[in-house]
Amino acid sequence: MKKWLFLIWIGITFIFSSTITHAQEKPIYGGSLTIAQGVEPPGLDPTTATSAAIPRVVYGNVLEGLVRIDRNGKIVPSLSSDYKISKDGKEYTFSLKKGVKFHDGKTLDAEDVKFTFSRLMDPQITIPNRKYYQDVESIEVIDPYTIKFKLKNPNSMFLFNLARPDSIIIHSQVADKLKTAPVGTGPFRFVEWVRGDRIVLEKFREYHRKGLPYLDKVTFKFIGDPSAQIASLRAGDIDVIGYDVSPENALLLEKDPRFKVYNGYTTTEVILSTNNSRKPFDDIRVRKAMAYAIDREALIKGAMSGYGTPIGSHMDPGNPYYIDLTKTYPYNPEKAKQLLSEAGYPNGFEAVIKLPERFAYARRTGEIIVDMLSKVGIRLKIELVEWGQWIDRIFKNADYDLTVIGHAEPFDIDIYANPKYYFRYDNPKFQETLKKAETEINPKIRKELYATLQRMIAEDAVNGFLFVLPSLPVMKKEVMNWWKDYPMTCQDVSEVWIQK
Amino acid sequence: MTVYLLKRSLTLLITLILVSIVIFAVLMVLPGDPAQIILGIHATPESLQNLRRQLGLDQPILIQYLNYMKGFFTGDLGRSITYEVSVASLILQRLQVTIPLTILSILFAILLSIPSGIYASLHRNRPGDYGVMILSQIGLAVPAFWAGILLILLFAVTLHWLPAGGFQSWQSHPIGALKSLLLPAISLGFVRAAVLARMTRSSMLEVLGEDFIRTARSKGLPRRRVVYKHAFRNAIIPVITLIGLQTGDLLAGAIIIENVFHLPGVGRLVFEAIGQRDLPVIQGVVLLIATMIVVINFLVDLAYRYLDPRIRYE
Repeated sequence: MKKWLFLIWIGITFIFSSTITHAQEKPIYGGSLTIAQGVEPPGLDPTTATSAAIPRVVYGNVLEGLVRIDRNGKIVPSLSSDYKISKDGKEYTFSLKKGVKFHDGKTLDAEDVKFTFSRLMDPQITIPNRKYYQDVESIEVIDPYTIKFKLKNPNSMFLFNLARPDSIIIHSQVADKLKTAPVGTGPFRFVEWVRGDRIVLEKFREYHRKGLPYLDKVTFKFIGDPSAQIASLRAGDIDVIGYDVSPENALLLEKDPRFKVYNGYTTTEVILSTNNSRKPFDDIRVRKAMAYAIDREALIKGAMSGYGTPIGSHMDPGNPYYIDLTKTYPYNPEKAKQLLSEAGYPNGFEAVIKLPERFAYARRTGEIIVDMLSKVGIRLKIELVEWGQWIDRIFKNADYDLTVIGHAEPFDIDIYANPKYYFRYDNPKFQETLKKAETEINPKIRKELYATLQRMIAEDAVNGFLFVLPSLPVMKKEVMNWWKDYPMTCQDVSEVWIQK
Repeated sequence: MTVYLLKRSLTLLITLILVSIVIFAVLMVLPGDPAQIILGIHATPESLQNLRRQLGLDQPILIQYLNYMKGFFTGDLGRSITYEVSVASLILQRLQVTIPLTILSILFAILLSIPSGIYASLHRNRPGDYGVMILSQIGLAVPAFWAGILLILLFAVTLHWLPAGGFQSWQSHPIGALKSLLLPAISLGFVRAAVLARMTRSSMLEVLGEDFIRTARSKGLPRRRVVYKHAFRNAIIPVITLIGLQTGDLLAGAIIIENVFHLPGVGRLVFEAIGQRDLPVIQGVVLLIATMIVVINFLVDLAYRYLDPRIRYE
């Protein structure tokens, strides 16, 4: 009997406590959120410039596309209510959500969508990522709320490309203001941009996802210096640091009861980029030897205070096509030495590693790699390179042996199919398989093809595949519902709220 | 005086032309293409070409330079490549931070250093003098950014009296704006004060040993009058030179402090513009700083004349 009573008591407490926590979990409306961002966007148009700082302010907050990537990495409808893909994979028909308003009161219709994509394909306008739309043959407005894309050939990446910040739907009459004062359909409207200091957004009351957003005001404050960001957070001037918190600061703030830190993943693959056209890196045995000589776990511990997920190929674990290839070349320095002698370098060799001075993670990763490779006889000289020079010398002209950099663009394995890309990796088999994968309609076969692609570059040890950068957003305890993982380049605050 | 002014204007003109040529040349030698930085690493050659044409970067370098200078002398500093707004408006906005910050820190430095320098000179080799000298030694040794971080830890993080950084506009929050400049002004001013105090002390000591001071004293003039009217007025000239130099230095050199306190000042503007290869902005800011330094030197010269009527300008 006593036992029963006890169980009932437990049951009641459980019910009560769960309703209480449930009540606490119910979002609260109102409040203002200040987010620190390290880099100020150069203009606010995500279609004509590629700085990641742009979508981190506007994408999902001010500007939206037909579809979007949600916090779990899934493609979900945004301005469309539904979409159909024809059997041959060449026709995409979108039904637009009805009653979607732009911030100036205009109603969204299919003509805006048509305008958006005609602009993206217009050779007169400078669009850096035009390749996303190169397969589009025609765009047809069927009725004000239905639009059909016809493709030249099936393109399995098309829907994903529509979820990128590049594909935001533009208000045709104010397209020229996109750079300085964008008008979109998002949960927040643009208020002001004090250059060098902040961008202010306020709640858009007629937002089409009912009940959202919760916040009244969002301010992005541009604080370049990481320790100044931390000081501002501690002083209470800002609420969140969304990106680029250094691992050791994250570790420190995690211990402070006023703040919380999320250790999620991003789409930024940090790799030891290797010039495959230069001696001795054109020899696969040398590249394999380097792969065997790198201990990823120790590297992540040393360079990233343990934050970050190891990868074995050029794909992030959040991608639906990801396969784990971290065991392709497990840490084995003996094997590395053996491979080097086979390749004709029994005493190792000398080379230069050029590190982009701007990125702390790259500098530190580089330094640790120098140490790891020295243990198998590869003697690297470090050269720090300023960012503009890095782009010019390394990225454009492949004037380098080795470098360390994070590739932030989501789903970018296709760069390995370009023999002119700075890795200078030319594998016709890879290029063929990628083409197949991109035009394959059957999702199962497609998945298999993407797995093959990942395996190919992993086995070829094209680059040293190291880890994906951790998301590490740091915020006050009261900030609720912030994204843990960053499967897309954005800081979507549409569902964020503040606990009182 | 007219001849003097004309001479000065000519110096200014020549300085500006030389400075502009040097910046242009340096930016041309530096690798890094603004179009590539804007469009990112995946841009196609066509888009890059397109953008370069829009920005006027496809023209010969001499034409680019002449176009720029033509604009400059007609008051048009061009448009920022990254922000797409006029450079003049960007700089004007940033000056709202930089000029008050410079004035505040120089004021702070003067108020702190001159009285303590005079005090030290009048109490030579006594505890007061040692105290001032030790403090100024510390001021010389401490870098401004570190002083800034310490001040943030104390006044912003622990006491919550002042913001840890950022800037509110003068128009909407005049008090907030002043508050956000206090800590950076103190950290910049403290270092400057150290140098000024030492200069004041040694200059005062030198003058106090002169014959005319002895005469003034033996005439029976009150001590206050001797010190302030006779000694100080003569001792201040080298100090004024130093203040002028420091003001110019502050206008151009507050980049680190602006980063520590994330203030949207001129220093950070040019720092970021260099990263983006935003040529019109770099050019505009550097020319502006050069102008201001020449103007400050001119003001310093005028101050000499006021302090010592024997100084004449030809």
